[in-house]
Amino acid sequence: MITLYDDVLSANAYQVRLLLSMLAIEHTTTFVETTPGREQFSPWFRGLAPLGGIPLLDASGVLIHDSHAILVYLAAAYDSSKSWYPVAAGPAVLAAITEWLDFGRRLCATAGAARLHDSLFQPTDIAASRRNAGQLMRILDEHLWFGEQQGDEWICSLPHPTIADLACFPHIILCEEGGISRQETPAIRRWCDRIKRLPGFVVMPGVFSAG
Amino acid sequence: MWYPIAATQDLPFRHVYHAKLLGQELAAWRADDGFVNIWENRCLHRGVRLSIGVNTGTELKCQYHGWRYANRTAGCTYIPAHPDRAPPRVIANRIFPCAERHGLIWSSLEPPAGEPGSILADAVETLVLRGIAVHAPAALVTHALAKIQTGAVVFVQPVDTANCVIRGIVAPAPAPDIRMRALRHYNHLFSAVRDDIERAAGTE
Repeated sequence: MITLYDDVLSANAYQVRLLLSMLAIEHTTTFVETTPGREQFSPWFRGLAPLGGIPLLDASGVLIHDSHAILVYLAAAYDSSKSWYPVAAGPAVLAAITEWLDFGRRLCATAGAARLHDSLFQPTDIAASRRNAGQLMRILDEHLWFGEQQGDEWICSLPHPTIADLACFPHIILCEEGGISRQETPAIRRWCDRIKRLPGFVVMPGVFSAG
Repeated sequence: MWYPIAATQDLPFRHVYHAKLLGQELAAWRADDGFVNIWENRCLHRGVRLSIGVNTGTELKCQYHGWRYANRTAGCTYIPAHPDRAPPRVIANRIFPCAERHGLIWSSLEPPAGEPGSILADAVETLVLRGIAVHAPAALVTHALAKIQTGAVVFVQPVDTANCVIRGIVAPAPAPDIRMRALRHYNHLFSAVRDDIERAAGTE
């Protein structure tokens, strides 16, 4: 039995919602009101997640505290195609995935922080957040553009997406809520279209479907 | 005057490209019949950007309330709030000139004179380089590029008063085995120009 502790506005939880949907994993959701309730820091939730972070996954009593750890767990446990976390693809691919998970964390700390600043009034150095997010997006755009030139459609050079794509996508697709445009990064915009067309793609507030 | 606003490969199947030329926001999309539409990036209903809309292959559908605009004419074809009524013919989006040449998509804010990029013959096969966005005025970047020998044909797209895009093509296209190396080379070269200018201006 899978339970996701979720907040509908959380970009990190959205990573997990995407994979749950794309792998059609049956689960229940417990809503944790982070804004304005700060329920993630309440005694009952801290009892489950000492760091007070959303999302949290309860997989039949196994508690997993971090969105990337949850992606790894769900892909390893439920993906019969073994493509989302492709262990068989070899050490270089696994290393690349881990690099891009870290990149996703950096997007969270910059573009994600800008979004929370503008939409939920969380304090941050907004100019620095936007500037640093812009630098990261240039790197991702360049990576995706050169991938396209070799026929690649996803972050890792494989014929299918991986959890690296899901770790980066939410912070990118919500970046305009933090005053960061994607107009300068056309390869990122095309990659967003491709993700939106994956079977099982779901939206969240601020994200449109590809139609 | 014609300016390149995108590369041909920026308009893949059912995509809507978000461009800006001389401060004017544009939505560019290729219909399934191959026609490239360049429109003002604004729904006539509530002003939402059409670049977040849906390219259906024959129409562009606004995300907000689903108004639809036709390929080629930009005329409104359907208003979901009035399903039984044909939209008035006067409801049509603003169209900008479009030309596709040398692997680039060209546009202009006023009726342009002549052909775009006419320094090359159409028969020449080109390699389109990655466009490099620069947070600096086009004149400044044009000046910096004039000082280096690149071996590429370089255009600078004025995005607005403070931004531009370096768009280059190599003609004739290099041999397939050195294609990726050439793309990397020019990407590195133009990125270095960008970094120098932005560092000096503090806009990186």
